[in-house]
Amino acid sequence: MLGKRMHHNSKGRLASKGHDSKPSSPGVSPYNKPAKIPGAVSIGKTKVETCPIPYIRLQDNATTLPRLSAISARPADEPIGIDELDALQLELESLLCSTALRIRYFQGEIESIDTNESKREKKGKAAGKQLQYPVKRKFQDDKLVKTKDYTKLSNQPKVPKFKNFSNASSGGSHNNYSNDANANSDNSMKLELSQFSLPKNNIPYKFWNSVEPYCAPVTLDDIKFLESLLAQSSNTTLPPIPPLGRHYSEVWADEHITEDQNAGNPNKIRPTGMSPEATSLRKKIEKSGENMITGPLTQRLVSALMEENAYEVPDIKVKQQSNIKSSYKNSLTLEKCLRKELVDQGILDPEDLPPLTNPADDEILAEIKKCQTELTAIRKDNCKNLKNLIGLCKQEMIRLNLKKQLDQVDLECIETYKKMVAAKQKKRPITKKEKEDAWKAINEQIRLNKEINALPLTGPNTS
Amino acid sequence: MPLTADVAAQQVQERLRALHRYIYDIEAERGRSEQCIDQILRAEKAVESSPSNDESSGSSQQQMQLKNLYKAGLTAAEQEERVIRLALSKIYEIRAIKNERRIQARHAGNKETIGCGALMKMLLSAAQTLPLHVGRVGERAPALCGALPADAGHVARPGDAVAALVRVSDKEENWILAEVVSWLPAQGKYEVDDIDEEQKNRHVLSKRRVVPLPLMRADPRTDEQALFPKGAVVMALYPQTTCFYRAVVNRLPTSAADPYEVLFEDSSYADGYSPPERVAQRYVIAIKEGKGRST
Repeated sequence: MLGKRMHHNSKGRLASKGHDSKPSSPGVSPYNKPAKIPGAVSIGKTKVETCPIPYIRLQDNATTLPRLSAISARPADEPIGIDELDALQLELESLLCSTALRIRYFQGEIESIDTNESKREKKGKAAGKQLQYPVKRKFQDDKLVKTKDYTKLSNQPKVPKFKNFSNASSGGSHNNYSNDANANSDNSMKLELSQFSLPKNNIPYKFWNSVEPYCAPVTLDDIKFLESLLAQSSNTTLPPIPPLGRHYSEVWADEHITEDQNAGNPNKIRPTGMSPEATSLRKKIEKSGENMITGPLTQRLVSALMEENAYEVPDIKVKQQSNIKSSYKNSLTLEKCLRKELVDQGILDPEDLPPLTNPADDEILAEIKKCQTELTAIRKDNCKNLKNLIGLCKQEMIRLNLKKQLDQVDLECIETYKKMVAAKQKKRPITKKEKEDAWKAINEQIRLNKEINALPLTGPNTS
Repeated sequence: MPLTADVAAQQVQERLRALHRYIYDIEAERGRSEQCIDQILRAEKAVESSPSNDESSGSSQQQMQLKNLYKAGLTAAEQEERVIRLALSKIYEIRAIKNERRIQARHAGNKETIGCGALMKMLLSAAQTLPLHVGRVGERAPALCGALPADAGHVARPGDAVAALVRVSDKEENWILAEVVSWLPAQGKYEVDDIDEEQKNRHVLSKRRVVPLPLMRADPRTDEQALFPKGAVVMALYPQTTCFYRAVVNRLPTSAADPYEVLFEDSSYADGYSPPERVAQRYVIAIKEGKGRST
């Protein structure tokens, strides 16, 4: 069996005509040299032109399919020998090859005829529509003009759309083709131009950067800052009204004296504070003509008494002399004494008396007091607003916290979903645990959402 | 099921008779096909010789006529193909029966000792008579046809030829040509016999160390995708040996019976590769895990 291998001849079998089989030679290596491709020109005795159809002619049976032809020639009762099977198999396989190739060839030919016919039909249809072309082109021109304007104004996305336009509307005629070619080249030019001329658009970034401080989420730092402000404003006491300083006349007098003294004694540098000589001088000045500021009652009394030439004032004056420095305070006490006396005597009713204004009350003090009241009011307002803000911020923080949790749960949900989709793709059944996880995630989501929505609004960001 | 010699012989005879009948049918079909082909050739000649009106060859009527002839030829060819396939299937069945007999005889204890020369001839004939897969139009080649790998869950049957990675000495491993004895599902391992020196070397190897050889050849004209491309790194059986070594495909087979031309990796040559060697389709398999050593 092994010696009867007929495969030497197989190389000739697969040629187009099968007529160029080389004689079998035992010396040839077991493997065949490459067989000829069907359709190639065959070297050999025959001069028949090559046949495009791959098949093995019956008349070549003896040469190309010897085993097969031998068996087929035998009557049915003569059995096939087992040893012939190898050769027979190879021959049958080669037959099968050629048949398969023939089938492909025929199918290809039928397809090409079909496509030719359909092309011819299309051409016929196209030829019948010659009259419509001029109109079509006008439309196209309009479209060209319009879209050209658009592309100048806007960006790239319009350009490919336009390209589709022109491609879709092109027919089979050459005129349309040339039109389209021009249009397309214009398009590409415009595309390039727009790419070069568009500067980098920074404005959105600028805008959002500027708005960022207003839209950023509230942080703990912000709350701390607010609280510090609140502490500041509640802690600051208003600056105390300084006690009425020495009257400017006195101060100037002193300064004057010191200047004189300094001028007189340039070497002696007088320490601050008054020298005894200065004080005695001052006394004299005071005595000379200084009018004391007195309250209204005192003034009325004095004027009344002055008319009577009764001088009770010097007594009081003497009193006052003992305490020069506190003369203004004394005027107040004088006023108070007078009042008390008058009321006790029943001369004046307390309500008739003008309100006891400190004679030393002057406009500046009044102004200071007015400012102080204003300041306290503002401070109160500030505190109230700050407290309000802090409250809002704290609420916002709670909201943000909840939102963070919600984001996490969202991610969990998405992951679970992806897992489920992957499981479905792999056709793996979804485990109970996965389902439970999914439900847990979704319920958590719903709960957090409800909570967030239940919170009171804290500003434009709340949604 | 136990296949005694008599039962086997009887089955074979049945099939041989059926085969004979098919062969008669084939000849008849071929005759019919040839008639169709002659008609087509005549029509084609007529079309070519007639003056062409448009760009397309021949008038519409001629085209229709030609188309009808093609269709007739197609049906005849398909009919012929069907009968040929039936005949071939009978041959394959006969081979399977014989193989089955051989395996059973071996199990029973008949040890065939084959000389080296005879072994090589046997390998050669096995490669050449490996069933050829001729694909129908649009049909994809099945697994283990030519270069196409086995399916993921494929289990080689007893008697199938495989390449097995066995430990030859302490640190050397070789891919050898072996025959499957059995599959051990509990361990997930194959029992294989070295094709050379049967029964002496029986190995139990895991699935990873066993690569099934293709069960069918591929025809380069109908199923090109089932062949290794040029330049592909493969494992090929070194001629006159029973071991697989790394090689590079140099030339594809030009016909179904043609072998590959491969270049074996060989450090003793200047460029690292041996001169081209011819290896049958059956003995060219894909590289597994980069293992395999050159001589």
